[in-house]
Amino acid sequence: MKTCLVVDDSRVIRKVARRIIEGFKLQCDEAADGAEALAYCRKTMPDAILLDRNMPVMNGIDFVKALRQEPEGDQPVVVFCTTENDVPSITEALRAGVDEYIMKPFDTDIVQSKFQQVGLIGE
Amino acid sequence: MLDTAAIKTISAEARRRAGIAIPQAQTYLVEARLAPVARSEGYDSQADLVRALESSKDDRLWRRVVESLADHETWFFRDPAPLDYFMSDILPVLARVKARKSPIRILCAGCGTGQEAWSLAMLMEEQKARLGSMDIEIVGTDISRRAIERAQSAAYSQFEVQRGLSIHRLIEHFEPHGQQWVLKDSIKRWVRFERGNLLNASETLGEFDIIFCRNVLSGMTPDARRHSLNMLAHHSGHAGYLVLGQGETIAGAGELYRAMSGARNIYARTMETARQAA
Repeated sequence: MKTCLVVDDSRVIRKVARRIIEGFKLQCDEAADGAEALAYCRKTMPDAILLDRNMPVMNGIDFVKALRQEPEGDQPVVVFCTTENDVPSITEALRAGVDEYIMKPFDTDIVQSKFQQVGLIGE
Repeated sequence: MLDTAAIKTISAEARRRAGIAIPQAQTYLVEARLAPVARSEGYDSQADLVRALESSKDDRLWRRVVESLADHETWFFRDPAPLDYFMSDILPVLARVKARKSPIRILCAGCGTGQEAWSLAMLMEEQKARLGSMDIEIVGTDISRRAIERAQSAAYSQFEVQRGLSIHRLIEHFEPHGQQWVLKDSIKRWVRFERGNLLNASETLGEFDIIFCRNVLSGMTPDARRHSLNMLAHHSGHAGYLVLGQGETIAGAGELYRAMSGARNIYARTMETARQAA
């Protein structure tokens, strides 16, 4: 079963995301910030990461840049999930190494569509 | 709340005007769809709206009600496989056959709020180097005036642009405008929209090389489906293609088109019936 790591400092968002992701028959693990997520990835690289941008300790952009420097760090599909919906923020995330981008608020249809586009789940 | 007689009246008129089939188990949809119409037309209740429809026979109001019952839900790059097949396998054939003597014409019949037509336009724009000077026209038609107006606006909400669209396509083909995302002029130039009813052949639409009519016929009565397929064949010319939605078939009108092997839900106009129609 494929694994998706949800990284967000909001426990509520992590809970909502977990329900959606498990509904897609993916295994879901959680991290509360970028540093925790990086420590997780150094032990076990997940198949996908659903990642908030603004977090304490290490934010989403810094996490993605660090992840892509790790051995096999190019493997996980990284989907940003954030309130920033302006083109410069989106472009910055894509340049940092993000594969897809979800603008909050989101629903199950949007997550499903994005996960299908990056090949994480089928049509 | 609407009583059974009112729901029957509305359903019958929807069937007559647009071929819309409302299954018994979904009559709650009539109430749900009529509620906003009643509000915006100034009626205190859906029952008052129905009484006004029955007594005044107001054609404009009936059209508004029937349009509200048609299912307009769609999204960008919905079921993308036929779109990809069209671009990779059918468009090159059309280009060779037409040899730039006349434009390649694409119809999105029952286009709703336009996302399918705009998806095709994005594919054209992305492949314009390969297309060269090929003249391509995309037309979207729908029975609903409101859906056509939305399609023409080329403006979509943050929810709508995240369904079916990659982030790369979003920032390449759209510009943010307040709370919405609007298609760039480079995409808008490919498409035009107009109102049309699948039950009536248009004298002005002309013939198309390919017609996308996806997830529309399945919402119609069997008689309306057969009739619509005849109308679509009328607009198909002698060598046109027809693309239906998943689970939809040309059953009942099999003499009009033949299934293409290896291409799900794609049909080609048969030479025999095209000749007969000429």
